[in-house]
Amino acid sequence: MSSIVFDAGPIISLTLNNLLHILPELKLRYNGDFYITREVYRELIEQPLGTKKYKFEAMQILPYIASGTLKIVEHDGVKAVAAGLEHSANRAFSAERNHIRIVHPADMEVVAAALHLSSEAVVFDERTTRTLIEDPIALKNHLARKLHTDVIMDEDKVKDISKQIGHLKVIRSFELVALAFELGFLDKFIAPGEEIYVTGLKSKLLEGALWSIKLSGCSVSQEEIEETLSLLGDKLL
Amino acid sequence: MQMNHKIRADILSILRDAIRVLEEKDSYSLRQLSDHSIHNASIFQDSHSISIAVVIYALSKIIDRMARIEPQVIEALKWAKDKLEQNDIPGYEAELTSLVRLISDFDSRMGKYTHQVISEARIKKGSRIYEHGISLAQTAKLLGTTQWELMRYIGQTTIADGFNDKPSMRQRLDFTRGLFR
Repeated sequence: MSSIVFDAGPIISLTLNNLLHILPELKLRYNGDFYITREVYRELIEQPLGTKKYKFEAMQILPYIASGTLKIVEHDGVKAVAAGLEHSANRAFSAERNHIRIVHPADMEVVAAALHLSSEAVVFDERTTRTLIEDPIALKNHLARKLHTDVIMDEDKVKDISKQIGHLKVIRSFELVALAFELGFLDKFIAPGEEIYVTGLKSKLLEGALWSIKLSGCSVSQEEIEETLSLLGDKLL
Repeated sequence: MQMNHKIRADILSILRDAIRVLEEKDSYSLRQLSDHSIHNASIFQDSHSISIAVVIYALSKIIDRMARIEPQVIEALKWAKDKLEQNDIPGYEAELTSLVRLISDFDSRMGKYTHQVISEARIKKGSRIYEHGISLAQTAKLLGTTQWELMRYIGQTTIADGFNDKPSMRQRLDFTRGLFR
């Protein structure tokens, strides 16, 4: 069975933008399952339910878990693989004779779950884990630039990590929303008769949705938004 | 109780400067001082660098809001500096805890439902650590905040922009289309 594993970030982005409804619609078109890990469940549901803030948001996510749109990965082996990945990732870069802990065990659990399930993709909105998978050299250069110090990369560790996880494909909530627009899943935000008041409704809908996802913390640049608007231009008519 | 020599020297320097600029009610300089410890907080991820960054930033926000600072805050900072100079780490930590309590008392006097100044400071400092290249989940754990809070704040800044451009946007979209064909 095909699968896609979600980190907490993309679900948070969709929730904050009233876009969770695209998940079951996308899943209907996908020949497989959507998964989250136990730690992601904790961040999305258990933690906010214990506070005043984001409790309502957690209650909006819960039905998608109860209905099976998002399944929870339950496998003892995932934690063991995650621990190994975390150990390597958090020893891959060092500065001032200190290993920099770049990732959290929860990040590596998402990756380990994707490995366990042989998933087609992982969904990450935060950029550190995504860049570790896609381009660890860029991560090293970024750390050095921001920390204003030499960052030493353990090439053996990075090679080992890349060998294990470099083949994973990463997408963001941004791409999911762009595709949802393309497939007409956002059309519910346009009611008949609105064009009397506002011209270029579809264009405004797409631009608004993409910017909202960025403004909710998805790691995407303004240039990528502009490129996406240009690439989806023929869908705006 | 141990503290890394470099971290101790940096915190002492921050405390000395903070006491001076607090007396001048210079909130901008306080924020700059707070940023200094983010470098150490990102590399060493120690509680001392993180807590001093949060406390100093919170004090800058109080000055912004109140245009004054209560004398016991400056006294607590002086005590914290003295304890650290004596290498009394538990004593230093106790003074910093009392500072957090003073700031929280300020919040409750303002009639807030949550400890706003401290939680805002945590989010702000967390966003800087994330900016340095530490993952969102790891940053949330270090600051004792949530990914919900961090994402909402980070999204309003340029911090969330990516720093790798491969694969290209076209490739990302094509791949995603392929998943849902």
